[in-house]
Amino acid sequence: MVTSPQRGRIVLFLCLLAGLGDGTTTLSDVVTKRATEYEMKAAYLYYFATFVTWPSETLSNASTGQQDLVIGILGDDPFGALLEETIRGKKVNDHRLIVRRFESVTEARESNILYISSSEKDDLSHILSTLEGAAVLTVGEMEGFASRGGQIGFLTEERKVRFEINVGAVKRAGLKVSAQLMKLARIVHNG
Amino acid sequence: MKTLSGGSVRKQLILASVLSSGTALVLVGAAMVGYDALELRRALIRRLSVQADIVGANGVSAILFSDQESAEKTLAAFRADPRVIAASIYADGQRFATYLRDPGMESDLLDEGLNLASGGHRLDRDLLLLSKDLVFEGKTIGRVVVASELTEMKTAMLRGGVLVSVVLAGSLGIAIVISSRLQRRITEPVRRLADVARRVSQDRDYSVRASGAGNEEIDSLILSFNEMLEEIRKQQHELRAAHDKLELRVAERTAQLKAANDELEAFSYSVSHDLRAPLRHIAGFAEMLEGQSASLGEEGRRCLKKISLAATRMGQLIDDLLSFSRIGRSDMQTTPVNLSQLVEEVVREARAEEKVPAEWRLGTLPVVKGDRALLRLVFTNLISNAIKYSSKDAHPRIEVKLAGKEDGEVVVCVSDNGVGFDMAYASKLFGVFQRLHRADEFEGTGIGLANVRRIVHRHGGRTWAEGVPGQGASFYLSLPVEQRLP
Repeated sequence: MVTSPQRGRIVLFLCLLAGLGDGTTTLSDVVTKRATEYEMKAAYLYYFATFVTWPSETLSNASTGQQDLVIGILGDDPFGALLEETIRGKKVNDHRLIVRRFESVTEARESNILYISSSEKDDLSHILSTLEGAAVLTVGEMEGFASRGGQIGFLTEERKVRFEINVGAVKRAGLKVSAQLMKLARIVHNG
Repeated sequence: MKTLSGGSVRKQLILASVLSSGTALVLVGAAMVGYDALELRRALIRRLSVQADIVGANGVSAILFSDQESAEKTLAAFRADPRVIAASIYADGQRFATYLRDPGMESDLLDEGLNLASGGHRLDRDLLLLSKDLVFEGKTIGRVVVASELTEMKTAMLRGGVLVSVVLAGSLGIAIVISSRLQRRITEPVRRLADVARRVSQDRDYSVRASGAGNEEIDSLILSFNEMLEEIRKQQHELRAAHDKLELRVAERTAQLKAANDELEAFSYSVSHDLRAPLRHIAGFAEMLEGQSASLGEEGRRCLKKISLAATRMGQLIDDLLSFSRIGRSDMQTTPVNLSQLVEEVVREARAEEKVPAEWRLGTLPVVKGDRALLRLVFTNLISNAIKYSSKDAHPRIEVKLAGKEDGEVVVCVSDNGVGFDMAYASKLFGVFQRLHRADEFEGTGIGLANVRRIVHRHGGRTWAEGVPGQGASFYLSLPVEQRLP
């Protein structure tokens, strides 16, 4: 397994090559603006938390009055420390953000956002069915994630990270996605 | 209407009201348009700020997810407002997405929005630039800059200007109409008053009165004017009454004087007349005594001679007095009298008295109006005087001439180079029985010049004399000229 700094360097190198070939972007662009794919994806996960509304009971705790917003990772973790760095000190509607890594789907039901790693692609339908009825925003980057019943699937187009949203799946999970997010997404209806 | 100080009251009144209303309207109009512009500007900024807020809020996710396309779509919402000519979303100080109303236009002006504070704006001549920060979770992630045209404001200003101009023109027109009506109420009575004043001064008719105007100040002016007229009329009336009274008194006194004079004349006439009878006795008896003069002795005869002479002289005096009296009492028969002719006649008769032939110079004299017989007496007296008083000269020279002609009267002068007189006694010359020479020097009673004065006075003329002792005398008389002849 490649460590994250190493991976970062590789991505940066690739981006540099792409930037040079492109001819329109500069070195500084690449460094400052073109963050690495997983930096972006980590940030996107945080942004999703701000544009999605969970049912009130899932995020409120009777004893403390507030609960952490859990970003779960199921399967191989592609982020390394990137996700923790991204969400450090951040809050969404006064909910502290925390990252948890799950081995089993059943545990993963406790998360609010669940990143389903591409390593779980063969097991996806089982995972999704296990999450049925839980207010969990499922995010994946495997091909056809959203059309296979996942809620938000990352796409990489022309070196840009885009995403698609399965409106039906979101609805079934009892979540609300902001129009701000919807307009940026490719909408998938089936499943 | 060249200046405020010139022209008639009428014009000045109109000008004053038009100026005041015009000034008020311009001020009000300017204030309204100015306030409008200010309000409009504020509204424009507010509107653009709200639009920037909305678009910015919608653009936040696009920045977060680096979705330029979406950001551009978001900015495209500005298309609904044609006043917005350009807008940009900036992220990390770089242009992220841009909207241009007219494709191909310069968009660099938007970059200046980066220098503004968030929510700040810059108002140029025809551009409003407004900038808003885009905030995500308390963090500024970008900025939206909007540029809007000010055509709306300009149009509003223009519309306001046109409206104010139209209202101004209309109101000034109405102000002119109203003020010209009002001013007529002020100037018309003043004009009428001036007319009355003119009539009063021209016709001296103090009975006319000016009528009221229904205007406090001018009514009081008219009232004072009328009171003044009444005062003048009263004073004139009193003056006339006093004058009439005076006339009456003069007439009365004149009548009294005339009566007294008449009485006096009648008295002197009858006295003179009555004196003749005893005088005739004295003269008669003196004559009788002369026949018996042998018995009287030398002294007796001398006395008798003196009595006789005195009686004769007294008779002469009484005759003269009677003739003088008659001149005053006789009726005048006024006819045109040719003085040249008259003087020639008189001179012809008088030359019999000449002791030394005199040198006669007779000028042409005019025709006057008067009593021929009386005027003849005048010239007889004057000419015989001239002969008498120049008789002692070796070369007597007597002149009768026209000495002057003025104001409807002629002045005739009879002069000689005789003994003359001292001017100190000039005033006594024309008195009854006044003589400047002794009777043994020049004979005469001294009634001649008195008669001359009396006759000339009765003709309405004057007499005067000039003389130098030993060099001669000039006697002047003025007579009213005959009107029919030049």
